[in-house]
Parts: sequence; C-alpha cells; structure tokens
Amino acid sequence: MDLLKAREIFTEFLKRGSSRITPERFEVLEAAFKFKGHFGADELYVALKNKNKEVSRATVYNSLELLTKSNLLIKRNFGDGATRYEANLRGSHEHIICTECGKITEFSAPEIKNDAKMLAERLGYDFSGYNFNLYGRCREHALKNAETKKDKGFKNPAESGPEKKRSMADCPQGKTVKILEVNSGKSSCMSLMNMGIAQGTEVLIKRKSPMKGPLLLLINDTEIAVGYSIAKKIMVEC
Amino acid sequence: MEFILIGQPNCGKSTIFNNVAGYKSIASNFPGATVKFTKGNISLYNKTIGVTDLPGTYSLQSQDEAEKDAVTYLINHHKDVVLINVIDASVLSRSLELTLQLMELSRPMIIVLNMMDEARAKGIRINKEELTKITGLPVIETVAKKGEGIKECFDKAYEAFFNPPEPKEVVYSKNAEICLGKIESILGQAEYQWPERFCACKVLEKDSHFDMQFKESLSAESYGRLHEILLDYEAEEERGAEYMISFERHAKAFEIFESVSRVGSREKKDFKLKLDNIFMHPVLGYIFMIMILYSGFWIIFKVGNLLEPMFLNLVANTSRLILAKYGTSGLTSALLTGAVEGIGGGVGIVIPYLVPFFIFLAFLEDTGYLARIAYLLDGFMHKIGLHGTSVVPMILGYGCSVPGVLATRILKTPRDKFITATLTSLIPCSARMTVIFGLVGFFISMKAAVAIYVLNLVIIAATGKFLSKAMPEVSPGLILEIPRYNIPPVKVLAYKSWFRLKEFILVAWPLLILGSVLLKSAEFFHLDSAINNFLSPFTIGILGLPAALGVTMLFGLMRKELSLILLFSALGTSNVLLKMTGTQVFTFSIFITFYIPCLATIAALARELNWKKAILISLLTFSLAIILGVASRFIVPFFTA
Repeated sequence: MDLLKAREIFTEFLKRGSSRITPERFEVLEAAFKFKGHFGADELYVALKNKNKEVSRATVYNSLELLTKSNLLIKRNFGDGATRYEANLRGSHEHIICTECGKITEFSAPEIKNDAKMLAERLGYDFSGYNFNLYGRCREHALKNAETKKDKGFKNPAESGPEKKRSMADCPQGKTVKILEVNSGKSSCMSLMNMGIAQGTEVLIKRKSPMKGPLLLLINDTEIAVGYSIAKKIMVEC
Repeated sequence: MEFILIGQPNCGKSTIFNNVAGYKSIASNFPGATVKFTKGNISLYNKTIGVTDLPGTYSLQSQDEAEKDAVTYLINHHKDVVLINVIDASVLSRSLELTLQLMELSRPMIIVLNMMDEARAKGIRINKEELTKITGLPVIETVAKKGEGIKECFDKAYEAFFNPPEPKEVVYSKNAEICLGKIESILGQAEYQWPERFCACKVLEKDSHFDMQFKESLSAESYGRLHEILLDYEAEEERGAEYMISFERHAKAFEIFESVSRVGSREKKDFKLKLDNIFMHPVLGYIFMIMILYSGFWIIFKVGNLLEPMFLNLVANTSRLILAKYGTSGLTSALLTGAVEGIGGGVGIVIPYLVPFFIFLAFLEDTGYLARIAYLLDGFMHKIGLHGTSVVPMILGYGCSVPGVLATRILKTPRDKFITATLTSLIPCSARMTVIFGLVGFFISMKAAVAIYVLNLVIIAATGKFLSKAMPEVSPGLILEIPRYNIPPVKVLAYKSWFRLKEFILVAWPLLILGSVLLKSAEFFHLDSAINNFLSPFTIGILGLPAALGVTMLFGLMRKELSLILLFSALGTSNVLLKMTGTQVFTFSIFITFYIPCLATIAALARELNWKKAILISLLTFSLAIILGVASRFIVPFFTA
C-alpha cells in the first residue's frame, strides 16, 4: 500500500464517520507512513514539529486514533507501558523483543493466527484480531553476556526507556526536550508552571548562552528566558 | 460601578486603560511594567465609571509582590465590579489558565482578546462564539495599540454589569472533582464572601491567606478534616495538591484552546523573528547592546548640547531684563532672580537632556529590547549575586530612581529586592544625567561624561558583589517572558515621554524654583555663607571644592538637578570654568552622582523596604560618594596634566 492509496482510504473513512477532513490529519498520516519503524505519539509529534508543521499534540493523538480505526496504522504495545504505532504496510506480522537492548524484530508466522482464531472460537468469541509479543534475549546479547560482563552503564530499556534523563542545562541548543520533573523551589516551580513549563510539556531549547548564561526556551510559541541555575534543576528527556 | 482590568503580564491592560482613561499608566513591552494599580475614570452613557488597571499576574496563585497586589485587590473588591479579563490572543492557551480561575469567582466578567493582529499574523484563528459557549462569557476582540474594539469592550462591560453573564462551571478531572466536592461540603458549614468553589480551589492551592480564614471560621474538627482530604488526594496523585490544581487548569485551558482555535501557517515570514539571531547572539548581542546604549546616550548628549546654550542665553537675557527693570538690590529682586533662575534652569538645563532621554527610554521599553538586555546580562548579574530580572528596575532607574525602586517588586526574595534597590539608587537617574551631561559633558568633554557612567557601572558591580557576599543566599534565578518585538507608534512614544516630562514639570520643577528662591533669600540674609562656612571643612577640606558649593550640595538632597541649577547662581556665572577647575567640576559631579538619593527616592525605599534599610542605603551611598570624591580630587589631576 502506498501513501496515495492510504490517503484515499483515509478520506473515505473520514467521510463515512462524518469526521472533518482537515489538512492536519493528513500531515499526521504522511508523517506516520514515512516514519521508519515503530513510533510513539509523542515521537511523531516531535518529528512534525521539527519539520515546522503547525499540528497540535491533541490533533496528533486523535488522528492516530482515527488512523488506527481505519486500519491504516496498527497499535503495538511492547510491554514498556508506551503505545507505539506502525504503518499497516506489510500485512500481518509478529514481533519479538529483546529484553536486553529493546531491539524489535518482525517475523510472520501464519500458524499463530490460526491458533488464535481457534482459541477465540473455543471461548465463544467471534474472532476479529489478536495482539501479542514474544520476548527473549537476542543473539548478540546472549553471546555478550556469556563472554564477559563488560557492558558498562547499559541500562535495561524497560526501566529507563531508550532516551536519557538529564538536566535541561546539559542539553544542546536547538533540541526539543520533554520535561520530566522540576526540582527547583516551590516559588520557582509555580512560576515556571504559570508560564507553561510543567511536567510532560515539550520545550524547544532555542538558545543557550555561554558562561552559564540563561537559556531561551520556546513553549507554545512564547519565549521564556530561564537562568542557568534553574535550568540545572529541570530534568528532561533528551 | 467599577471596571477592573486583569490579565497576564504584557497582555496590554495598561494600553487599554490608557485608551479610555487618558495616559496615566506607563505601558511598556515587557512583563511586569505595571507594578501597582492605577485608577482612572471613563465616561460612558453620561456616567463616570472608575477603571482600575491591575499589575499583570500569571495566575491567582501569586508569586511576587506586584502579582500579590493584583490578587489582593481583586479578591477584596467584590461589590459593583465588572472584571475585564484581558488576554493576549496570540498566547491564548496559557492565558486561559487565569481566565479559569477568574471564572471561579463568579462575578460579572467579560473576556477581551487583545492583540488580535499578532494572533492573526501567527495564523491563529479563534472562534469567538465557541469560546462564549464554553465559558458563558461575552468575548470581544481588540487591537488596543490601534484603539480597535475598545469602545465595544467597555460597552459590553457596561452591559455585563446590569445583565451579568453566568460563567460556566469549570469541570476538572474526576479525582479533582471528587476532592473538590468533599472540600466544598465542609466549607459549606461557614459563610464566605467568595463562592464555595473558589474557596475549595484555594484549599487545593494551599493559599496561606485563605487558610487563615478557614481556620478561623471552621470548627477545629472540620478544619482538620480539610487537611485529611488534602492528604488523601495527594497520596492518591503522588503530588502536591497545589501542583495538581495547576496541572488541571493547564490541561483544561489547553482543551478549551484546542476546541476554539485553529492554527494555520503564519501569514508571512516575520522579520522580527530573525532579529534575535543578532540581538540575542552570544557575541553579536553584546556588541549591539553596547552600540545601542552608547548611541542612545550620544544622541541625548548631542541634542542636549545643541539646545542647552540656546536656552541658557534666553534665560540669561530674560533675567538681565528683569533685573534691569527691578533693580539689583532689595529682597524682591533677590526673590525674582531666584525664581527666574529656577524656571530658567528647568528650561535651559534639564529639559534639553530630559526630552531626548525619555524618548530613548520609551523606545527601549516599547520595542521589547529591555527584556533582551535582561537576558544578555543574566550571566553577568549572577557574578554579582543577582540575576537578569534585576536589570529591569536598574534600567528604569536611569529614568528616575523612584519607579526603579518600585519596580523591584518583580523580584521574589527580600534579599534580591534589597540589593537591587540599593544598586538602583546608585544608578544615575535622569536628574543626575543632567548634572553629568550639563556639567561634565558640557564643560569638560563627552569622554569624561562617559567615564562617569563607566565608573558608576564598576562601582555598582563592586557594591553588588560586596552586598551579595555580605548576604549569602541563593538567588532563585531568572524566569522572564521575552516579549515579541513591537514597533512603537510615534504617538505612543510621544504620550509616554510627555507623561514622564509632565511629572518633572509638576513635581520637580516647582521644587527647583522653590529651592532657587530659597537660596537667593538665604543669600540676601547672608545665611548661605553661614551654611557654607559650616560645611567648609567638608567641601574645602575633604573634597577640595569652592566653599560656595556647600549649599548647592545640601539642596541636591531635594532634587539632584537643583545642585546644578544652584551651582550657577552660587558661583554667579553660567560659565563654571571661570570659578572652578576641571578637576573640581569632575569631583563635584562624581559626588552628586553617588551621594544619598533624593528625598523622593529615600521615601520610595522606605516604603518598599523599610526606614532602617532606607537609611542604611543612604549612608552607604554617602560614604561611597565621599571615597570617590576624594579619589577623584587626587587622581583626576594626573589625567589632565
């Protein structure tokens, strides 16, 4: 299935559901189809933002929902609590996930579908789909672990996620980061929140100045200057 | 009936206010320009109605003193008011967080979407009807700086008074609602001036002022129960309730924003966005800052230098005419000369420098560059124990120390406030600028005048360093919204400069004339020589200045310009160099620049800090002035030789 076909299907789907056909929704569709591999809603949002598309987070979320309903995307859950999506391009396939490095390998095995269907019927259900993942240690890691224990500093992705947590002051200029926690005093914390710097928001580090100077952040199209000492206390995913 | 303008910082409340009430409130393009409320009147349908312009506040959970003032005013004025919630339409989502809190007050209220032009340029389209449907409040679109929609705004506010719209109840997430419900049922046991819902939210916000009220009005058992509910809620959410309620509002505001607006692409590439690549650049930014400030002062100096001799000649001729007519002896003649010199000093010396300065200051404020200076200097300010926000009061201090000292309200801790207030009173205000330019610049050289400014900055840095060492405490750091660039209309600059000039004419000038008359009558009764003799160990002994300057320095306490004007009459000539050496002129100016701020500033310091601190600052600046004066006396001759 190519993008053109997908657009057709999506247009048809939106019409049928009497949902509005907005250019933003198609932006999301396009970005989703072009995304290599699996992605979370936030990752897609960031990707769109990086391309300077004016799409809000809420639009991304509900468009993804619509795309899933129209069968253009498939929702995946790999056990780390985050929902991921992928374009429904290759027909049905399964995933095996490495517990060491989080690597996801795709494979197809028709016998699983048959078994699943049978199981559903036995339980008295009309079968419509299934969703499951296999877990294990990938060959590389199985070997490495057997040889030595020198994989220093490597964290289990299920615990920390693929991205690193660090202070905003340590992030490079021009990067969009997601705020995890604000550890400054109560007053600063509230001031920041009043300006929209709160847990979960995404912030672009627009400018950094040398010699522990302030950072210029962009949040909801507003520029806010934050001193270095405060930025040091804002932990972000970067 | 009273209209109260309330909104987040830099959303244009003061601009709207000035549109209807005459220019009374300084409106600038940086957050926190208004630090105290301003009252005015508007006539509508043959009635005079009060309008109040409150300082901007991001939320009703106030953080600094200016915000606290706004909130206190708001919650204590609940009879016969209409709230006009001004919103910067280009940052609608964030602004709605305050709106949600105001709605909880359930008072007559309207929403004003200001800066619609900015929002449109950014491609934000807002569905007014939808916003009215969600909030239950009338919505008016305005562009205050062009005066668009202002009439309709106040018409709607008037209408809202007689036919109050019902703000819709804001519904938060299930957990929050359950908790709020429980709190409301307990608060229902007592009576409050505010709606229960509002009070319940204040419990979650842990507002100390309201907490006192609840403690007094509720039984110990109920009050205890309140805290149990709070603790349960926090345990469930694993976060402080005050954060949770903020999150709730944040989410709600975003939800409303999403449903009432669509964001398209920008109308056109805005060149203003590119400006910061230069002005906030880590290297170029500083070069431009120095260039902008230097050229500003250069223009002020040039304009002043051009006008000063013209006006001075005019004054000299007039006074000669008057003296010729009324004779040169007798008390009336002395008083007349005093009055003429006082009036002339204002016209001849002060106004030529003041007018270009005020225009330059208005330009800095209104373009939005002031906040950029704060950003650029943040790193440097950290070196002296403060942070970028302190730059704002200090720059305002270049205009006049009084608003500068008042502006320290935007700082959050008492320590930062004290240090910044001290440094602000050391900044050469426009009065001292006239002394520096009119005396040193005019009689010595422009370079020497600049040298005083540079020396002043060095001393300020050293004082800041010293004070922050003496009061070690971690400063909370800079959090400042950087406003968009704005090209101020000439009319606005003119109004604002006129507003400040008017203050000089109405307040300072009479003082100058009075001072001048007093000095002349003192001369007549030979009191001046008594004072000069008394002060001579100080003037001659320590500073090496002519004894005649003693009185002028004393009068400088009232207004710094007075020292300059009286200098001419004390010396009996307007060509100072006939009676004083270059070094003496320099030393005198240094002393005047640094010593005790004028009475008005001391009063402002006492009000913002306390009397003890105001006196402490006065003593500190006085000793600084002596040390520097003596240093100048002995060091400057080496440069001139």
